[in-house]
Amino acid sequence: MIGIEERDTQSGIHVFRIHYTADPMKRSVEWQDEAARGMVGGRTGKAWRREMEIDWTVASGLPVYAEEYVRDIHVAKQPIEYDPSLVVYRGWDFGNTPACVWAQMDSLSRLLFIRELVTWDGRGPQRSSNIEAMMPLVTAISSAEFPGAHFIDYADPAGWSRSQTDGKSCVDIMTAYLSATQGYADIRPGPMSWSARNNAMTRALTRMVSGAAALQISPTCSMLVEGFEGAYKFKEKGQSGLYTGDPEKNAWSHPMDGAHYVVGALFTPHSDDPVDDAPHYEYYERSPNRSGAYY
Amino acid sequence: MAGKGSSTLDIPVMEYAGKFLSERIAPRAKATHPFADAWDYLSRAVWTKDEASGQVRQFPASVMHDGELRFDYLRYLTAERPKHRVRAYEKSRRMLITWWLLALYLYDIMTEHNHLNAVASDKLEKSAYLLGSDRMEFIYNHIPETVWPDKPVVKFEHRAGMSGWRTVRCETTDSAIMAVASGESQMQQYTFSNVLMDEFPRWQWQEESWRNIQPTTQGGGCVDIVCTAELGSYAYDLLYDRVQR
Repeated sequence: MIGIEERDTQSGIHVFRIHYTADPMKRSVEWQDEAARGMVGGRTGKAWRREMEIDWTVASGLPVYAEEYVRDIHVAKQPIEYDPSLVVYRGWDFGNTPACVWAQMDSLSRLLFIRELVTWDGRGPQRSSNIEAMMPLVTAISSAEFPGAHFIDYADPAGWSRSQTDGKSCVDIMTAYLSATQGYADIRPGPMSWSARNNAMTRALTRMVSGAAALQISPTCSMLVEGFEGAYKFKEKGQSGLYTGDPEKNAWSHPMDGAHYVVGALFTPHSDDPVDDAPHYEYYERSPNRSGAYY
Repeated sequence: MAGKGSSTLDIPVMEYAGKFLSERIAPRAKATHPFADAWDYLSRAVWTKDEASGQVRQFPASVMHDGELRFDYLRYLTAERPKHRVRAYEKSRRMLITWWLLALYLYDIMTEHNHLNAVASDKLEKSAYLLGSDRMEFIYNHIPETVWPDKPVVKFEHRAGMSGWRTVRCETTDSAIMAVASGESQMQQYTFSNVLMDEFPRWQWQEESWRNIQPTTQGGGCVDIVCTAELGSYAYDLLYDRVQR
């Protein structure tokens, strides 16, 4: 039957895929153009792909990098291999669900994200963790998958704040652990402001070097890929369809923040290093007909 | 029914038992109704309300476009659905799937005895809304008298929100539908006959909810999972065999 596909999953679910073309009225280009009216990007936009083409690689909401990120050029076709001759940058985000990413800058000044570690992947209930629990995992991965590497760590600037209970900061814990395990700790703060990090990420995503994107992600970094695909998105004001200029805190925001600290450090010109923590009060209005791009 | 003057004394025990089963018990397994099948019920008895315009329309079973039935896919799904116990529908928007399933869940409790069904959403208010006056209650109230003159009495109980109900109970069949929320222990405590999980990929507690309905699936119950594509959801992992990651 046109528009209906069926398959069985390994877990015994019979899946009916019901595409809009199952309805003969919806097969005409005229109907599709009308239905796409109000959706950002029309029939080629992500909203159409997700809602009408049943494309599971597109997230709902307002993706932070909807315009800049293109899967075909930013996600490598094969897993990216570690190059022992190059420095390894680690990007750290702290909090209750800390994350870490590993990256290298190749000889063409392309930043390659090779590895990620998350303590919560967004599936199922949120699992709390902390930097002390994550450190052994990070050092184990670093020694096993990046033997002989020299590491430079870029971390959330909030990590320098001392705890009110024991007076230790996340960076103190990192320093002690890294000094003991790898013999040194080279920990630097990522850009303080969201706008500086965002500008740097935009710059990295839109720059081309020798015909390839200046930022490449290994397909093994599934949380980063999903984050760029749209799981890293702007925070909605309630269920209003209005979005603040700040990203939503979710499972994907932590590895994305880790990536931001590395990108922010490597793709920010010194003259463009503003300390701009003023919140954004820009709002993006969704389509009033509820079939709009984002909800 | 056995005739008033008949005596059971001169009927052999087995014959009596057979008569009892066929006359008393068997009719309870399937309540009487005027429909040939579920599609016949949908075609003749169900009316829906257009969410955008508020217009009340008959379930569009016979609406044509360029010589083709527009909603023939629903007829196909109605026929295919009972062949599988756990069904997922990954769909484009506005394909009438939720309306179609709600109408079938209502039909189920009006025609099957002792069924306990669940309609589940992310939040209880949303589940209750699906049972409420804009959805299932609307369908029940608009079944034409001429089509189903003595339709079973269905009670909508325990108000939740402006237009929602927590329970729908059919007195004739002793069957019921409960509104439940994602992750609720209700889903684990009961073995349901049917569970409708609406917009599952957008639930906050997908993995937990999936685990909670295992008593239903293992107990022979049926599940209908309605999905709009959502990146990074547990539903995606489940439907595309990525749950091991």
